Amino acid sequence: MGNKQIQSEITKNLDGVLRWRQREEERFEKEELKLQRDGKLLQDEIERLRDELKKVEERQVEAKSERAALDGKELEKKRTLLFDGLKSENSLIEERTSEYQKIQKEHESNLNNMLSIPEYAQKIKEYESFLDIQETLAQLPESYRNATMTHHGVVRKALDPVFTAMNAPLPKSSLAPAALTVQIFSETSIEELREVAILLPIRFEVFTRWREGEETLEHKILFRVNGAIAAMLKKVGVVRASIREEDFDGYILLLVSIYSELLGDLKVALQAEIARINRYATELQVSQLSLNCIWLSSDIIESDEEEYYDEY
Amino acid sequence: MTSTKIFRKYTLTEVAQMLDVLPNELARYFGQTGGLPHRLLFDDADIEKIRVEMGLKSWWGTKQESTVQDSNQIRGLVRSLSSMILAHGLVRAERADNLLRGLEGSEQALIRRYINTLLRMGILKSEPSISALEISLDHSKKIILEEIVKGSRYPSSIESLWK
Repeated sequence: MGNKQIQSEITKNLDGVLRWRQREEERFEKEELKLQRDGKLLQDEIERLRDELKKVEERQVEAKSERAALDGKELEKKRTLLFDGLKSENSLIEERTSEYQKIQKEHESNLNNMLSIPEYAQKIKEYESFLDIQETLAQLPESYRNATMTHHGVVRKALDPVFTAMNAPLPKSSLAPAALTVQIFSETSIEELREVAILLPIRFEVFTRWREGEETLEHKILFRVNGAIAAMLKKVGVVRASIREEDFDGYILLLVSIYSELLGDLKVALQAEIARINRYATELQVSQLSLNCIWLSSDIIESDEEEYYDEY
Repeated sequence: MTSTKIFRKYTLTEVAQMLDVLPNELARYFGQTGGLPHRLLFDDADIEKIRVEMGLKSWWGTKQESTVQDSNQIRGLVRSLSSMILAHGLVRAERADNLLRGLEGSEQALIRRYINTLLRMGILKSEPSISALEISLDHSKKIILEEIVKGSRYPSSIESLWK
C-alpha cells in the first residue's frame, strides 16, 4: 500500500468549494434548461394568445358590421316572406275562383232550369211585356191601366218562386276557411299619416288588362279593397286624396295620398271597412276567404329609385 | 247568367265597360256612396244612375266642339281638344277621363299624352279626388291653347306629339 497523502484542511476546503461549484453549475444548468423550456412554452402561449386576440379583434369588427347590417337583413327576410306570401296567396285566390265559379254556375243552371218550365216561361214573357209598356202606362185610360196593374200583380206573385231562387244566397264552399293578407305600409305616426300603400296578392295585370276575360275573385277583391279605401277616406273626412295603382313586382300596390285634413283614425277606419268586407262580400263568404290587415313599415317596399310617372 | 232580360245582371267589370270608366274608380264611387253591394251584380236601372252620379260625360261622343280641321290627324286631334277645353272653360274641375271618353285605341292614347303634357306645363291643373283625377284650366295660360287652336304657335313639347 502506498503512502496515503494527507490533505490539508485548506485543500479539503478548496475541494469542497470545487464540488460546490460543480453542483451549482449543474443546478444552474438544469434551471437554465427549465427556464428555457418555460420561456419557450410561454413564448408559444403568447404567440397563441396573440393569434387568438387577433382573431377576437377581427371577429369584433366583423360582428360590428354584421350587426350594422341586421336592419338590411331583416328587411330582406321580410321582403322574401312578403313575396312568397303574395305568390302563395295569389294561388289560393286562383284555386278559390274555380270553386266560386263552379258554385255560381250551378246556381245559374238551377235558375235556368226553373225558367225553362213552361208555366214560368209564359209568366216571364208577360212580365217583360209589362216592363216594356210600363213608362207609357200613365197615358192609358185609367180602367185599362188598373186592369194592367192588377194583372201584373198576379204575374209578379206567380213568379215569386223564381225571384226567391234568384236572390237565394249561394251555398258556401266546403273548402277550409283561409285568409288573405292586406299589407298596409305607412311611414309616419298615425297622427301624421299622409301616405299609405296597400299591397294585395293580386296580379298587376288584373288592373291593366281588366277588359280581358271573365271577372274573377282577383278582380272582385281588388274592387272591394278600392271601395273600402274610398269609404275609409270618407269616414275620416278626407275630401282631397288620390289613389294610384302601382306595379310592385307584378302585384298591385294601391298608393293612397291624402291632401286634406284627417278628422279621424285612418287605421281604425280601414280596419272597420275590411271587417265590413268580411261580413258582407258574398264572393268571399262563398269561397270561404277572408281578409286580414297587417300594418308594416314602408321601408320594406321602398326603393331608392325615383320614378317619374304621368299624372293621368 | 241567364239571358232573360229581367234576370240579366252585370258584373262590375261589365258596368265599367258600358260606362267607359275604370272599374277601380267605379268601386271607389260605391265606397263613397254607401258601399258596394253584397253581391257584385248590377242591373240596367243601376247603370244610368251611376253615370249621372259619377258625372261621366263623353267629350268626343258628341263631336259638338271638335270642329278643327287639320291636314295632320294627330295635330287635328290636339287642336280639337284644345278648342273643346276653351269652349268648356274648365273653370270647375272636371273628371279627366271625360276628356277622353268617346275616343279609342291610339287616338285615346294620344289625347292622354296631350293631357299629361298640359298638366306638366301647368296649363291644366290637377285636383286629386277619390274617385278620379279631376282637372281644371289655368286661365292665365289659356292663350297657349288659343294659339294651338289657331295653329299659330305650338310649344315644342306639344309639337313633339306629331313630329
